[in-house]
Amino acid sequence: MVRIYCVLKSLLYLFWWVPLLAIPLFGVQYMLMSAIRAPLTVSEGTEIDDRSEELVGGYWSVVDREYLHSRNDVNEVRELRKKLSSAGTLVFAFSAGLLEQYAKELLTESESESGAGADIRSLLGDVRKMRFVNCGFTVGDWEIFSQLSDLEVVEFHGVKRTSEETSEEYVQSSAAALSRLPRLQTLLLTGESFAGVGRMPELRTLGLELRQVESFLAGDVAARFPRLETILIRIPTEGEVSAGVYARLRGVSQLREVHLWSGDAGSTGLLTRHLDNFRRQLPGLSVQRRDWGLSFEDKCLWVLLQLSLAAAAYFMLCGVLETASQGMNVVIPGVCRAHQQVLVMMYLLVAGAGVLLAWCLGVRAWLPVLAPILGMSLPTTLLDAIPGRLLRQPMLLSGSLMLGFSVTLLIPAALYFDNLYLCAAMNGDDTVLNLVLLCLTAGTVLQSLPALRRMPKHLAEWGQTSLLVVVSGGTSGPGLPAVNSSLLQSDLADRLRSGTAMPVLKSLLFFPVMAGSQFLFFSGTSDLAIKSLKSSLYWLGFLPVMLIAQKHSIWQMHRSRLWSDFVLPCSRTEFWLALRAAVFRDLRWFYLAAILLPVAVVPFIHSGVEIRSARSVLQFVLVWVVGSVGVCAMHHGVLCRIVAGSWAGWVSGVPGVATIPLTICAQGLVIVRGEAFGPAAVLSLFLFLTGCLLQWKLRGWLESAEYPSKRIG
Amino acid sequence: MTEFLIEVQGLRKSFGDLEVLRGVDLAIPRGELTGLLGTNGAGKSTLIRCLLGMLRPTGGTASLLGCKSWDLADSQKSRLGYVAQDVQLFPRFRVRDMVEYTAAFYARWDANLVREQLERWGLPESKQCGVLSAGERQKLGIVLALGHGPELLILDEPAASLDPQARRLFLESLLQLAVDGERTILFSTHITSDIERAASHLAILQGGVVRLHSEVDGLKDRVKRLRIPGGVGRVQAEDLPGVLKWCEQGGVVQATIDGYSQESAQRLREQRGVEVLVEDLNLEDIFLAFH
Repeated sequence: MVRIYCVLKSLLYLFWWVPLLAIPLFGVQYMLMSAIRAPLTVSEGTEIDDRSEELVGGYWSVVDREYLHSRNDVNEVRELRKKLSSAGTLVFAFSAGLLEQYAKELLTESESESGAGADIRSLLGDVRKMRFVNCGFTVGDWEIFSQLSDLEVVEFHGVKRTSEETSEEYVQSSAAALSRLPRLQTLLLTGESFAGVGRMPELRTLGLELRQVESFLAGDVAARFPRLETILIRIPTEGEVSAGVYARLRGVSQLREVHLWSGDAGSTGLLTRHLDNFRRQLPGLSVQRRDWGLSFEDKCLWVLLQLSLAAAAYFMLCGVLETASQGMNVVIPGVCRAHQQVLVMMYLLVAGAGVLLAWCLGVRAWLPVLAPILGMSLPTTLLDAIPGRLLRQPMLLSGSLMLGFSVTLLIPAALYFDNLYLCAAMNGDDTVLNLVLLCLTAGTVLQSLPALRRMPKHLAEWGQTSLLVVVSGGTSGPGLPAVNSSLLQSDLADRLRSGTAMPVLKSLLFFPVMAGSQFLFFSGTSDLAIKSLKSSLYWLGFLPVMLIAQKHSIWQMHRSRLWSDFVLPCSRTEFWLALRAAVFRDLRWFYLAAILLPVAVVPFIHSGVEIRSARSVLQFVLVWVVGSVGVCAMHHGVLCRIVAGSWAGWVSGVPGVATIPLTICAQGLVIVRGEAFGPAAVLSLFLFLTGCLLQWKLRGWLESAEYPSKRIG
Repeated sequence: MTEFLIEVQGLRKSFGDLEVLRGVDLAIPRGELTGLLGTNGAGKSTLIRCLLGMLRPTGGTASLLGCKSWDLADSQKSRLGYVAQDVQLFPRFRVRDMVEYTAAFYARWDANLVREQLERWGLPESKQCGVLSAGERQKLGIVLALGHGPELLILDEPAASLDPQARRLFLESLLQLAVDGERTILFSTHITSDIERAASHLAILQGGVVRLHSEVDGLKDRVKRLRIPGGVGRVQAEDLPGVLKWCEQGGVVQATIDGYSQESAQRLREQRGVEVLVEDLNLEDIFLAFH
């Protein structure tokens, strides 16, 4: 009976953690699978040249890519021109007439700078590769395109004509444009029909859809494509290969290889049957299946990562169950004990593997490197903040697991996107973003150092045999003298704060940040994702209110604790300063999120919402950030005065609490909408100055504060 | 030279128009176990909080361990233990977490003593603070205050929430703590029997001033009730030293005096020719006599 009760109660514990576990576990896996499936239907061809010319470890290198989107301004054009000074690959996505638009803007910009006329070839002359993804193509686009005669690699993925052109016009203009690319070596054509393309003396690799093969290879192919050696044919999920296709392929005398690929990941059987047919019909050619999946090495790496995650999940489960069993002083069969140390090491390994993976993949993005660093501090911060062994363990475990998933799953997932949104968005060229991320990283590392220093204490609680305790030079005895010597090294604020720690809050705060970043990964892939993100952002808006309300209640509780804490061994000044620092540290993640919110949200909204103001993103961000800093400073000051008992508790009631996030949100809304930028800027400045004033006066107020301030018998 | 760990001179404290302390004078030397007795609202807690530096005095001075109370440094506070009237704990903490939290602030912490005390008081370390009863919270507060071996222990009505058994245990603990004569203890209460049982000295706070600060045993020797049959009209209050209470009933005079001596009683008998019966008083009677 005891065991049944024990298991049931353990399940209850587990159930409590399920929301935290399930979302990263299943949500990320689901999105990952979706992400992996998506490029199979769209962009396998993009790997053709990358694999042969620039791939590291089987994935793209994203170093020389620039992504052009439908919206741009003068600054973007100027920036683009600078970037084009070095050779690279241009990827156009989604928007019809984009090439023409860019060409016009580049030309206008060039003329305004030099005063002389310029042609598009001179401006884009360094570009050797172009990729068009799901792009509408106008006659104007083809005209511009035809001027880029130095192109060597061109890929059209799902390119289509617009409603303004007829099919004939489109075919003629595309054929004319493609025929003017004498240096073209690789050409991939999927989407709209292409035909009548003229001579391409350097063409070696040609990718086509099955339905296009007959028409495209009509005529004297040997004369038109004298160097054509490899043809890639995309096999549709339905339909058969006609005899004409085989005949056309037999007619290409210089052809050596035929590669087949399918747009459907689940059509393995179909592809195998087609491979057999092609080999039978074309005995002189090498017919191969083009598998755009992971290489063997990649698969090994992938399996290793998955195994490490599975192991981490196992240990986490053990930890959760053990937590329950420890509380009841019973042993649950099959649950290993004292594996927390192993998990810590595993967490470190996973984080390290994540960094290595990111760099091996050639990802220049900051996030993959940043995430482990941020994550490094997370468990230690949690450990530091959460009193009691039973609470620390599951928090550490869940934090580690979430970090592991984020690092190991999202990076490869991001790489699978055909437009590599993340890599483009965080390519290290954005000064503001870099600055923010650098500050974030530095701040996180700095704040985590004291926590790391206290790791031996936490680990010592887990048992005297802890390997890490020995490695880190910590004490192994769990007795109080050892705890004292370790904890006394921490400053007073941390010690005061440890009494008010609320693990759930950190989880709540951590989760939306992670979830938000995950959404951000996918926001570049479809309109639906963007809509989902926006709606989730609105929903997340309620979270800060809830968090602050809880924090207020906790600190109000601490207010009554001050009767005892005030006589702890520290001077009056030390005590109040420590309390001020403790309140700040307890809310720092919220403040950080509030201050960084504009940095994250403004560019995003700027890209998706029509802004009526002509201000730049940086101006919006700066004004909002300044206002947020002021609001946070005010909030901290007010809460300190409430905790010190010098202000009435009603200030921390619902209206008082809700005012803070609502002010930030309302101010941000006004700013990003650009409707009242001037007043918003003045308000931001006012908030900032008021916050500074409050902070400036705070120390004096606190030091002269009596506790409790009301009469007690 | 006597070392006073608590020194209060002319201490006044007002809350708005209400003057709670009106010039308190009190000096407690090292090793003294003093009970601070006063009615509800007499200002015992206010005095203690002024002593601890929580409240700023309106006038006068309060010193603790040789330092002004308002400016107590960490070195003084580390020698100080305090148990509040209503012990506040973190509800989510278990008892052991609470011990660990408190221990973290002190360089010296007697873990064994704390463990022993927890066992003695019947406080399971795994029990959550949120479910502790008022008495258990009080017990834990006392244990926590003792962990760092304070030289000066100040307790604000510590036994108010304790059951009789626990109160007896608590008083025994106080006596044990004070037995070496090095530890100074001040505890406020309105239960005179507690002081009678444990305190060596008594201070009575009344009307915002300390009316009495004396050794308990000496006080009992000093304060007596005299019954004088047929004394009405023959004996006046001026004939007796330090009259606290005077009552005439059925020809019998009952006088409670502070400053009794056999000589004074004998003198009264001889001068007025009356019979003088001397009665011992308990602390409660003495306390009431002062009111």
